[in-house]
Amino acid sequence: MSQKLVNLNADLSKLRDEGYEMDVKNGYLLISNIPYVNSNKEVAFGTLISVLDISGSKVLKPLTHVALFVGDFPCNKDGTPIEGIRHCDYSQILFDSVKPNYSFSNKPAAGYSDYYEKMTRYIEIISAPARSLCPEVTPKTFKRLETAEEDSVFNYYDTNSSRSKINAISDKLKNHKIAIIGLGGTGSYVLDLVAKAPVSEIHLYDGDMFAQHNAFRAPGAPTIEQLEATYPKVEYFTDIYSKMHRGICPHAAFITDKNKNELLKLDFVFVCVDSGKAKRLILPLLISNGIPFVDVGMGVYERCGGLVASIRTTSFVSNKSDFIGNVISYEDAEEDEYTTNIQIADLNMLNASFAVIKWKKLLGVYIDTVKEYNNVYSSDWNQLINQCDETNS
Amino acid sequence: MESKENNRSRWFALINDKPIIAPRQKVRVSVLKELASIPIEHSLYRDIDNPEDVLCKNTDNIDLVDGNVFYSTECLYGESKANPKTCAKLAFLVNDHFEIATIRELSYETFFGLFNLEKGLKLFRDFESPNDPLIMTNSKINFADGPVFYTRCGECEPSGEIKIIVNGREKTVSKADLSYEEVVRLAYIQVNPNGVYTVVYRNGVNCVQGSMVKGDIVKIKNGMMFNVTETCKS
Repeated sequence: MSQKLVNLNADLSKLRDEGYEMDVKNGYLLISNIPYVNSNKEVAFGTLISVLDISGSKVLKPLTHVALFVGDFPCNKDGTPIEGIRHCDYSQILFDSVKPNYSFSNKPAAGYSDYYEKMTRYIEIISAPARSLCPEVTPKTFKRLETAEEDSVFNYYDTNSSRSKINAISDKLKNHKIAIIGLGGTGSYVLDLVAKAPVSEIHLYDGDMFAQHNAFRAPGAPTIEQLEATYPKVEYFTDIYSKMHRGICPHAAFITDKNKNELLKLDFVFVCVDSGKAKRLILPLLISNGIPFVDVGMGVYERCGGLVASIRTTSFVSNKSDFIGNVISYEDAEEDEYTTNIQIADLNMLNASFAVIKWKKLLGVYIDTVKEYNNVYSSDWNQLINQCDETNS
Repeated sequence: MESKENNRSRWFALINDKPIIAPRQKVRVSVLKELASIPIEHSLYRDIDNPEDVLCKNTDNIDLVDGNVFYSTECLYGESKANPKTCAKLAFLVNDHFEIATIRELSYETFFGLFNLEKGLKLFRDFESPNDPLIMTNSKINFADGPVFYTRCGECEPSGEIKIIVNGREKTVSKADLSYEEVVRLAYIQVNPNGVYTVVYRNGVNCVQGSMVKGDIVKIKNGMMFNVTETCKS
């Protein structure tokens, strides 16, 4: 639980100070040991949970009046359910092993003005029968919960996952160490996406400086002063994304024989380099060590005054590598239209999205039904062609 | 990526009047439903032109040679009814158009009449290989040998011309199939022999689309499109 967050917000500190067993985790507010009566007319204890709407370190007014509950359905003294608050049965895991059984709905005409009002109102409804049966029970135990700071990789809560209740799914990305090799157009958009994932380390490899043309193929918008300062690319991007993610590690170098073994400690690598020579060094190393990767690449040609793009996304997982040499070139390519100053941030972004979606498929975040290991998007046909094994019967 | 197995004729199922190219002759019903975008819980029947059409269970592995015409209903599927005695409907496909017959063997003339094909056209049975067999003029056409066909114009085959589009430019080709290397050479004047090119195509024979790598050969037809690039930029 972030004590800082609790201290900065009057409604949360009031709950703590009145002795509720409160915790803030993964963007949720949890109050445990709440007495209620179960259908056997016995006093039991449950946990009341609410999504916490936060902006930075400020807790907002609750956006929803709905609350979640871990426990049996709370009853009146006679063992009949308190139907007035019934909303739905609930079976999703919120995060870790937190699995609510019910959601409740009790809505004041004007909504709840803060979390103190919301939580205490529900506790009042749930606990009243228990306190009537057994006056000595109370939710205000003054038991202090562990005050260690939450070991989040983010500088603030991932309220996007908690609001949409997919923490348990995004948690599949936790504790992963990944690298992005090459911070060009596609690599920088890969970073833009993975910086929002709860991976533990994001290593950036690129020996180039951030130049003016890079600004037109990268997420965000640098100032002219930033361009004039000539940062290494990895530092420029680390500055931006460290505002959000704590695990970004810049390496202002290309992958060579000297540093290539640093890749062996990683769980996943995004290979976003143009050079075939570099791929000849990197890909066989990853394959022989069983380190999964996605390699991206696009080809753009000009026809009749317009552009046509093919966007390739190729992935390697432990047991299938025989096709790699047939789809990825280890040669340095001829100069083509792309090498001139054509602005194609949208294509870089699409290629980065394909790469990140594939990575998330490999980790079980997205369902991977056809298990494609190579796909090519053709912009003029608006068509995606998959290469996958035919095992669909 | 198209399948590279040779000597296998292409099969299809006609489901709710839509030809669905099947991965092979024997297919699981659940796969057919998926290919035809039919919800798994709907009932699929083999059409035998009889009120007692045969219900196909999701786990059945059905052989399309026993009849390849199906329809689905929204009712949940239960047990199969009595065993039918009548003939299953058989659908043939020529140049992506289908016609239905109930006899397994048709004469060359009947087949041409069924599809209203012009005399003089050359008829090929579609195998998943570059060497599709030409159907000889007086031969019988047996459903069991494969129901998918295409035609080529008589005078221009095999030495005639097929117009395809490679990287947005029309190219004229005088053979019925192209290798990966040949497609790359149509796209680039200078080809790096060690380079790897990304080759994708659409609007191929029987509407196939796919990708090609070294060693692949694909049948071509008029209007087929290829995109060839070195996808190495990031």
